[in-house]
Amino acid sequence: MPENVKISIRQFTVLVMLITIGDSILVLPSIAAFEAKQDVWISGLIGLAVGLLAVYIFSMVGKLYPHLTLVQSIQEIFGKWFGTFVSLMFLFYTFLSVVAHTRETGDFVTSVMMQETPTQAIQILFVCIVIMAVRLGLEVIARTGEIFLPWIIFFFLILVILLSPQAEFEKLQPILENGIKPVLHGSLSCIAFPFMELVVFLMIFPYVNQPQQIRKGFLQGVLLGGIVLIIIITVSILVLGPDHTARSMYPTYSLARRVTVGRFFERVEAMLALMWTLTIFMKVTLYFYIFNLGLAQLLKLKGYRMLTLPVGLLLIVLTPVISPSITYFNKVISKYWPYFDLTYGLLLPLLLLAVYFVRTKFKRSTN
Amino acid sequence: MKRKGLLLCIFIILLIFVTGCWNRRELNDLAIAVGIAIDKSGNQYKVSAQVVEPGEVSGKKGGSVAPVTLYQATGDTILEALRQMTTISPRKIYLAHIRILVLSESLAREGIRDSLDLMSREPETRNDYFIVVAKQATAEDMLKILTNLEKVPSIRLFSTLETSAKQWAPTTTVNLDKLISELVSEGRHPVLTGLNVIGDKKIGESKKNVETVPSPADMQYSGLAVFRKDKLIGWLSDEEGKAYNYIDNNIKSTVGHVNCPDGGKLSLKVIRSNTKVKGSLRDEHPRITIEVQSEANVGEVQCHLDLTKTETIAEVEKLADRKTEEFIEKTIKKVQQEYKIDIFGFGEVIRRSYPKAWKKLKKNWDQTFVNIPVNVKVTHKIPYLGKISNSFLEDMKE
Amino acid sequence: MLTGMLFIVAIIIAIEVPPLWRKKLKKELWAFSLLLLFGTILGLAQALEFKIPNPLDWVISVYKPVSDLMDVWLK
Repeated sequence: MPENVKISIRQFTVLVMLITIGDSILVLPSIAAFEAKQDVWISGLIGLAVGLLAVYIFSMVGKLYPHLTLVQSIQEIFGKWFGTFVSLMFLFYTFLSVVAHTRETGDFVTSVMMQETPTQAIQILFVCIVIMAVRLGLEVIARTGEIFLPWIIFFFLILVILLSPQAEFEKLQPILENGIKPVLHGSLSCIAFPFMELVVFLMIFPYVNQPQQIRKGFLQGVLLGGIVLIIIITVSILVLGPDHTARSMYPTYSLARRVTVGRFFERVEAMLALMWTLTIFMKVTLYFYIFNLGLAQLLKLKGYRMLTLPVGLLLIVLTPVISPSITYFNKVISKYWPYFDLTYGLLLPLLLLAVYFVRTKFKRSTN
Repeated sequence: MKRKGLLLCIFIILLIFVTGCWNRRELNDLAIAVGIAIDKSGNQYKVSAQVVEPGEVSGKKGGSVAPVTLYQATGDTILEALRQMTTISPRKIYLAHIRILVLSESLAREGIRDSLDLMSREPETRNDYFIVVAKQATAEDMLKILTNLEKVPSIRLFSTLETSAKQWAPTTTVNLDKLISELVSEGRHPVLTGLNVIGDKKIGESKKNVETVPSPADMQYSGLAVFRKDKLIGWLSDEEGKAYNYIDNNIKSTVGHVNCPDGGKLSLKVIRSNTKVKGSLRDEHPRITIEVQSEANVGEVQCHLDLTKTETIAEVEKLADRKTEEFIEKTIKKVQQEYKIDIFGFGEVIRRSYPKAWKKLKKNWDQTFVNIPVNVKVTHKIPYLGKISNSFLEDMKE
Repeated sequence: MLTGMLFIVAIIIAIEVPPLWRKKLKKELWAFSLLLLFGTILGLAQALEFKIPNPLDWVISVYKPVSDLMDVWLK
């Protein structure tokens, strides 16, 4: 696989941060607040703590074979047949993630901004740009991330600063009203959506130019992204209240609608929506890139670019299939998807580590 | 070369598709609704939408046409009624700029929850308008009166409510999010400000209303509607409304008077006020302490008082404390005895401080609320006297 | 819908096939064609309103026991 691209450690950190924020910024407050109510910020903190731990594990897995991507090292560790099977499962997961995130973007635009526009029209335009980015390669994606970052931070700060006068701290009380269990339940999605989904970064470890600094950069990116998410979650509770946060489909959008300065700076939500449009775009793009790259590596093809267009077609065709209605989709995302994430974000790396150590030990004793 | 040609083709095709929105709506296709009134007629909703006449409200002086028009339609659901308006109106009703939502009292007595779902679900609507109840009147009447100072009546209703809540206090501004959070809360029942028409309704509907110096008809806010869950069960007077706002920590500024010891009155401008409501439990019996701290300036003196003495100021502060405490206590008593429901959010206060005890209490909170002991403590501070110290009344010998 | 779909497929072929053909990348061509075929069939099935199995249903059936267990446990 002659994929001679290199990204700097800074670009890597920026990518990690943007993808941690990803679509979570839009849907996470609502999903987590549904269970944890006003304590959802605690769930967020638990999520971040577990997330940092998970990232530590990811970097351990990455160190096993620093020159191989995840799909390649899976085959190296699990052997040819079982390895191929696991790789296929992993690719299925990444592809389904791309489909789900694309669907999410379309759903968001149609349900709050352009109601009568067919979702697929939005998705087609979106996917066209994603394909374009992926065909240009990882270096371009990483540089795009660097360009987007200041804008995302700028809009994020605008949102938080302009909403701070509306914050009511009594909405956080009482703390732990129903014990710790709902908080843990809420933390499940806080762990899965932003952090477990970062497992795909194992696919681009070999392309980072300073491999020894990956762990540091990874942890930094996750920490920054996690803080952004926790702030958004807390602001949702402080401004909207737990009940409204859980009920609204896109709490962050409701937040943006609340922004008002005097009587002249308001109705800016479409502008602020740019913030998460960019992060979701980055997430979908990276996932899409990784799916194509992984598939090409699995089939031992020379390059992945010829796969992008057919896969894009498949993506567009599947988006309406996976979600007959928003109720079904939301239920899947909030109830089952976290476990799907955990399987690949936690189980797979642990399994890889375990099998690797058992094998090396076995080899050493036979020698 | 071939590849470039192909890309060019795609580029041109794309140009056709990405030039605009899928279904654009130009400004002149929209009927911008500024006020919505909902009445009940039989089992159906009668919805009235006040729509601005764009030419009339623009900067250039308008002609003889009224600045707004009212479309009305009846339907089984509110959305149906709104869409049915297209049979009268040449443009589709656009809801993003609503300033006021008026519900009729009869609708409110039957329950308002069914009317509110549309307003919170519809993506066009926002959370920046106020909800009021038409007191002893139909809601549609409230949108029919033409007004001065502000050409668009709904905008005027919005500003009037905002100003009076800020400066006078017995009214309260309730938007949709606040109303819904109070409706779903187990420890609180909502209130809404009442609105009625004073004067001659008939003339109020015509342009004549704005041609004379005193308008023959006007709209006035008065009292607060008390709701049990979503059903209106009674009204609070202006003074009780003020007490409600004191408890809810909504006082920005208000004016009140105290009776001087020797007769006559002294009025105080409250410029800042902060209320803390605290709950405590004694043997599983909740009790509430309300602490109000107000800063007030002397606004008007109609009696003989030597305001140059610090003792007098202290005395006036005491009088003001007593007076405010009295009407807050009286209001709580009235709500406890007459309406028997917790509109002050005492339940929420208990929930916040004693989540465990609240789980037991919440089952019959309203019964508990009726007998809950409330301790009101008001402290006034009078830092300034205005432009003069003692009143000239002091030196006027009769 | 149907013609639009076929039109897009034609464009994709026009963009990708000639360079692959020229470089004689047989394996890549196979992978490309199979994926495209799969996408086209699904797309046509959708355009003709056949029912396509939903992959998320599989996800649900796999994770339902875990999710239910967690719901009971964390109630």
